Formats: sequence, C-alpha cells, structure tokens
Amino acid sequence: MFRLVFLPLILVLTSLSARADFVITSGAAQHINGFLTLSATLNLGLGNDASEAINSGIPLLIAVQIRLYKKRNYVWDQQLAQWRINREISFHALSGRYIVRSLTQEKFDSFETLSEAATAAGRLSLHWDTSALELTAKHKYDLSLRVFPDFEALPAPLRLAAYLTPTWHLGSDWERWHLGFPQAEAVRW
Amino acid sequence: MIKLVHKLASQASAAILCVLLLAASFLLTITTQLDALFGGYYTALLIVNVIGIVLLSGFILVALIRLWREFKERTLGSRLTFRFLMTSILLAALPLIVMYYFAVQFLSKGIDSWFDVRIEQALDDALLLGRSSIEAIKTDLIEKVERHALTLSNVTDQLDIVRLLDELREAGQYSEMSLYSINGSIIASSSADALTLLPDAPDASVWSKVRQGQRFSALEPQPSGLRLRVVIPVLGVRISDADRALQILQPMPIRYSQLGESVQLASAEYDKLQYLRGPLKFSFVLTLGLVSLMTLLMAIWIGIFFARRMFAPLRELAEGTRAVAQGNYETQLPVTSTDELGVLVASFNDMTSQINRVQTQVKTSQRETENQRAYLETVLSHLSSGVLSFDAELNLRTFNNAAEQILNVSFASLKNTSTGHLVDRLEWTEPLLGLVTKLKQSERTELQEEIQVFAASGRKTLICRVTKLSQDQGLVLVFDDATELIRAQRDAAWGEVARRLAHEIKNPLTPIALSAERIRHKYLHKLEGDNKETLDRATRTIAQQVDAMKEMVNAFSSYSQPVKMQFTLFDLNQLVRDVVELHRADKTPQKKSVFEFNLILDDDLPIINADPNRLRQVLNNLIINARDAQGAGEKTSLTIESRHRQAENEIELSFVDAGPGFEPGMIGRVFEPYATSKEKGTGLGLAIVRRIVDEHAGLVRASNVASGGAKVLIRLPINNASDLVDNVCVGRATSSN
Repeated sequence: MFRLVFLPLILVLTSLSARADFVITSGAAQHINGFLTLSATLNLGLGNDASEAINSGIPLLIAVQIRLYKKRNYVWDQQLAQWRINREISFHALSGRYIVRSLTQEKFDSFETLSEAATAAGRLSLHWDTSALELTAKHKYDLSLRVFPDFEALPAPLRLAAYLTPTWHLGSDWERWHLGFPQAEAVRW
Repeated sequence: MIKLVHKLASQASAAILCVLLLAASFLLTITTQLDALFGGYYTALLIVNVIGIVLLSGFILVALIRLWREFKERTLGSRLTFRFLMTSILLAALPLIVMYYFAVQFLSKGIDSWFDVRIEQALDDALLLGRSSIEAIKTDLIEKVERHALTLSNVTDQLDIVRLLDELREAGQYSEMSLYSINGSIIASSSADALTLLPDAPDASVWSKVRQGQRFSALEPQPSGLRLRVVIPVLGVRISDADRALQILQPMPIRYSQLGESVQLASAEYDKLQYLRGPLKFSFVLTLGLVSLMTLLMAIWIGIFFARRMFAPLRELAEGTRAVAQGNYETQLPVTSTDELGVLVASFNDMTSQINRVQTQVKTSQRETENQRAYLETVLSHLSSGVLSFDAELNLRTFNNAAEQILNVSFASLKNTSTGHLVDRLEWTEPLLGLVTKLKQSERTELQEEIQVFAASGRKTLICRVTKLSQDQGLVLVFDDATELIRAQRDAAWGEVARRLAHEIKNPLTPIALSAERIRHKYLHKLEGDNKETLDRATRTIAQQVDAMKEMVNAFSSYSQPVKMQFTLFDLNQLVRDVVELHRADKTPQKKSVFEFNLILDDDLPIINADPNRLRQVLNNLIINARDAQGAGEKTSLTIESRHRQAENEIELSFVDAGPGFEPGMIGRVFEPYATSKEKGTGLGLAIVRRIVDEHAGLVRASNVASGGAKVLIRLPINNASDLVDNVCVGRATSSN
C-alpha cells in the first residue's frame, strides 16, 4: 500500500541519478529534383527506466517529428509540411536480440545489444516527394527535427509514471537547419 | 424570472457536469481494464477526471463557504442545512472509505495473485527449452557451414564458386548462401528468392568477429518468422589466397518458428506484466481513488443541493414567520411541493391571508374611529358649552377647550383622573362633579341643574346637563357659563331700579327739602327753648337726609343712564398725577388717616384715546374705595402703577392698597351694584368703574395680593375711537385672587 501511494515519488527520486537524453548529433538535408532528402544521426540515450522497460518486453516507440518551414523576412516562418517517423525498439526474448522496426518504412532489423539497436534506430536516411510544395532555390527553407519517446504508445499503467517521471523525459529539443538545393552543397551541422 | 432561469441553468449545468464526470469515470475504469481498446484515451480521460474533480471541488468549496457564512450569520435554516449536509457527508464518506480500503486491498492481492513462481519458472524453462532446441539446430547448421567453408576454401574461380554455392544451397535448403571477402565485399551469392538482388549482408559487429577468426551464429527474428544466420571465415589454402567469409541464412522450420514465437510471446507478456505490476496497481488504485473521490464529491454536491432544496421551504417559512412577527401580514410563500412541507406552506399562506384580511378590517375600523374621533373633537372644540366625558368608573376621558376656559382649569394633566381625585385637587368643582356622581348612582339617564361654583376666577353660575351613555359606557357632562348672562340680567334689573329710583325718589326730594326749609324759615325764630332746638335739628336732619338721598339718587342715575363717550387723545400718566394731587390736597377733617400715594408710572406710556372725564371718575372711585377700605388713623398707602403692554397694545393700570383686601366671598361680586362691605356708600363705586372700563372695551379685575391688601387691575386699549365705539357694549370684567 505504501509503495503504491508513493510510487510516483519513488520513481522520480530513483530515476534522477540515471538520466539520459535523446540528442541530435548530426544532420543534413537537401532538395534534389523534387525530393527532399534527410540524413541525421540521433544519439538515443535511453536511460535505465526505458532500458528496463524494453528488457521487460515493453516496446518503446521513438517518434521523430520533422517540419519544413519557408523563411520570411518580416513575419514568422510559414510551416509548409510536417512528417512523423516512428521507430520501435523491442526485445525478443527467445533470440535475446533487440529489434528495431521502422513503422513507416517497414524495416526490420535485430541487434545483439540495446545500444546497437539504439544506434541503428538513430540513423535516419529519409526521402519525401515534395514536388507538390514547389520548393525553389529563390526562397530559403528550414527543416527542424526533434525526437522523443511516445508515451501514449506505452501500456496505460506505465503511461502516468512516464509522464510524471523526469527520467522518462528523454525528448530532444528542436534542431533546425537550412535546406540545401542541388546547386549548393548541403549544409551540415 | 431571471433568478429562476439562473437557478435552472445552474442546476442543469451541475447535473450535466455530474453526468459527464460519471461518464469519464466509467470510461477511465474501462480504459484501465481494456487497455487495448481504450488505451489511447487513458491520459485524456485521466486529465478530464482530474479537471472534473478540481471543478467539482471548487463548486463544493464555494457552496460550503457560502453555507458556512450563513451558518456563522445564523441565517434561518442554515443550521439545519449544515447538520443535514454533515450527516449526508458522513453517511456517504464512511462506506466509501471502507469500500475503497477493501477494494485497494483486493486489487493489490488480486494483481499479486496473477504472478506465480511456478508459472514464471515454467515459462523460463519453456524458453530455455526453445533456446536449447534452436541451439541444437544452430550447432548442426554451423557444422554444415564449416564443411561448406572447407569445400569452398579450395575454389577460387568465380564461376565455380557460384555453381558450388547454388549446389550447396539447394542441397542444404538454405534461403541464402553468400561468400564475402574478409573486407565485406560480396564475391558470390545464391538465394532461394530469385527476386533478391543483394544478399542480406552481416552488420559491422559480425564482421569484427569474423575478421578475428571467430564464427558468428545467431537466431534472428524476422517478420516472416525466425531464421538462423551463420557466418564462418573461409581461410585460404595458399598463402596468396585471401581470407573470405561464408554466410548462410536458413529459416527455422515453421513448426519450430511458431512454437518458439508462442513461448517467446508468453514469456514476454509475463515479463511485461511483472514489470508493470507496480504501475498497474498504482493505475488501478489511482482510478479507484479518482472514481471514489468523484463519487464522494458528487455525493457532497448532491447533498448540498438536496439540503438547500429540502430546507428552502423551511427557511422561507421561518423568514415569513419573522416577517409576520414584524407586522408584514402580506407575506405569501411559494408552494413548490405537494408534500407535508407544501401543505405547511399553504397553511401558512392561508393564515397570513386571514390575518391580513382581519388586520385590514381593523385598520379600516381604526381609521373610521379616528375620523369620528377627530370629527367629534372638532365639534367639541368649537362648542361654546363645556363638555367633560367620564368612563364607567368616572374617570375623566375627554374635555373640550370651552370646559377649560369656563372653569379656568387645564385638564390635560387631569385626564384619566377619577372624579374623586378631581374634587380632592379642585375642591370647588365638587358641586359640578357631584352631579356626575349623583347621576351615576341614580337610575335616571339624564340630569339637569343650575349650580354655582366658586372658581379661582370667581363665582360661576353653570347650567349643567349630565347624560348617561348607552351600554354603561360612561357619562357626559355638558355645562354652559351663565354667569355673564345672569350678571347682565342683574345689571339690567339694577339699571331699571336705578332709573325708577331716580325717577320716583328724586322728584319728591325737592319739595321735601323746600318744605323743610320753609318750615325752618317760618317757625324757627318763633319758637323758643327746646322746641326751637328740636325744630332746628329736625329740619337740618331732613335737609341732610334729602341731600344724602339726592346724592344716592344721582349715583344711581349716573349708573343707570348711558353716557355719551367723548374720546380724546391725552396722557393717562398726567391724568393720574392730577387726580392724585387733588386727593393729596384733600385734607378734610374726617380724613384723619395719613394716605400715602406711590406712583410707578411708565415714562414711555403712549397717548391713549379715551374719555378723560370718565377715566377721572374711575380713578376717583378707586382711590376713594381704597381709602375707605383702610382703617382710620392707620398709615395707609396706595400704589398706582402704569405699564405699556406693547404686545397687546394696551395700557395697564394697577391699584394696590395696604388694606385688609376683599372678602373672599366678595371677589366675584365686587363689581356688582350694591356689593359692598362698607357701612356707608352706595355700593356703586366699583360697579361704575367696571361700567366705564367696559365702555372703553377694557378689562378690570379684582384680587387680593399675597402680602395683604386689595389689587384692582385695569387694562385699556390704546386703539382709535372707531374701535371703541364698536366695542362699547362688549365690556370685560373679571376678578381673581
């Protein structure tokens, strides 16, 4: 009974010492012949709570949110499009391997360790047909990206703990960079 | 109307909120139980429930604060409402808390009971068994792959390698068989899937092992099932031969794959549940807590609502009762129910209606009574007759102005005083009030008598009539002052007497006097001795008595005959001084006493318009009267004071002597003819004084001063002659102590 009542508090206190975050380490975007290509490397530091949950058979959904902005001089930037990429990391008990599944690209890979799986999940190489957006080199565009664990995909009992526990708050900040065109070299950061 | 709409809207919103919160609680409960179905809404429902609880708590807090304020202010019905609410909360909270406690216990035990060591062990064993079986297959495959690697180690020709790979793959029923250089570049590959363009290359971690001469084997889960990946280094036979690596991908048999997945899923689900045991308990307890709290809050809110609704008629009834107690009989309460309270409120409304009706009738009657009373008082105040009314116990109840003026008594302080006390305080009213007592004690209903009372202002002749009121409500005494009337009648009689005396007596007096003179003249010198002396004395006596009678007749004549007034402007002070000087100079032998005059004359006395000769007679009469009233040989005095009464536009003359004063019984009659206590005189001096003052429209009154002596006060108007002519017959003469 005591544990039940103070479970959120215990979770908060115990998880403070093992904090890890998602960090966007590198990325590049360019627009070639009506296609937008994005390459990014995400360092997905899962931390103890998330790792323990995965090892206990709970799949962790990692959401990557991408927005495309058109730069404007005097008013705020115009958002042209946004995409969401979901990658799931789960543990396969029989094989003892970690599975990374890209839900949008239907990719399926397995790895021996969780860190390998996280690294693989953090490698993004994406392409979109943006011909409908009619992007031109005359204008400047920005692409912003963030990555975060999707709590709503967690089992309901774990969801509240995830919302209340700081160690579960692994999401990265928005990273933003300019969109390069074929004539120009892709901007790296 | 607005208040009613507001109230209905408030109640409707409260009911809607309750229904929504109940629905949210229900969904939250379902979500907790059926995660797969409603799992996506769990957080939203949780937030909705928390917001609902906060809102509900806020509403309840506001309602409780308002109730508490009413309780502190002792608002009617608030204590009953508060007590009912507390009881409701207690009745709702106690079972809820008990239920909550046991439910939490039950949940906790129930969830714990899901996990069994034996089940866990069985699942682990099953998983281990699966792994062992797979391991055996994998070992067998590794041995095969090693043999294949040995076979391939001697083959360097590309075509041979491709052909060999096809043969080995088909022989071994592998899904894919590939040969790589040690740096990871593909040399040759054979796949069961003809559409596969590129082989499924091992990742970097595999290559790092292979380059170290180690072999790699792993069971890999795939969307289509399980498969085995084995990578083995292929060492060159010759020194010049480069090392290579052989990879074989072999799907697990379908039966193995299904059974393995089944065991894996069961084990994973069990592990997941075990991991979620704590959060699950917390989730259930939280949901149960939220639902319980919401139920309690709803119970409190409903309790407040019903308490207010239930005791509203009582509160209104109490307020209505208070309003009735304060005299508001028009209070009507709304009948909102048909139960006992509704009957009570309807009865209250009937009661107030009846009281209001009666009260209106009473007020109307009172108003009519007041009007009649006012009318009666107006009539009484304008009556010239004095009216005194007494109740059945003979206490004085009402009186009018005429009664006070006639009796010269203020009855205001004597109201509700019994006749006995009135007589004690005003002894002289005994003949008047005795009539009231007399009628009260008799069987008669009316009594009429003429009585005389000796009031402070003198003797009064009153014509009285006492009447009993119907139904023994008291008596009414009506009296008229007939004093003036009787005095006028007496004056007229005396005038007639004086005129007859003057006419009948004065005429024979001259022949009598002449005859006596003739007898004296003819026979006195003829007689001698005693006869002469007798004749002399007799004729002188006759002459003296005739003179005396003439004087008396002249006095009566002057009293009876109306005199034509000759008004003129003159100084009254000067007239006083002249008359006083005349009397000071009068040193006749019979006036043996020393008579001292004290004149206090107002220097600002205005000129008066009057008849100086008549006023001179007034002064003479008063001085003679004062002198005659004082004993011979005594040092006596007369103080004459004049004063201007500006407010009344009058001149006041007062005469105060140092004599014995008027006899008490005479004060009311001193101005009547022949009312004298002197041995000599006609008794007309003061009567003539009053007549002259009356002719000047003045006022004269006599009284005794406290220090001894008599006082005569005269007030004369200063007005012009025309006024005096009009008022010549309206004299005023009063007397007082």
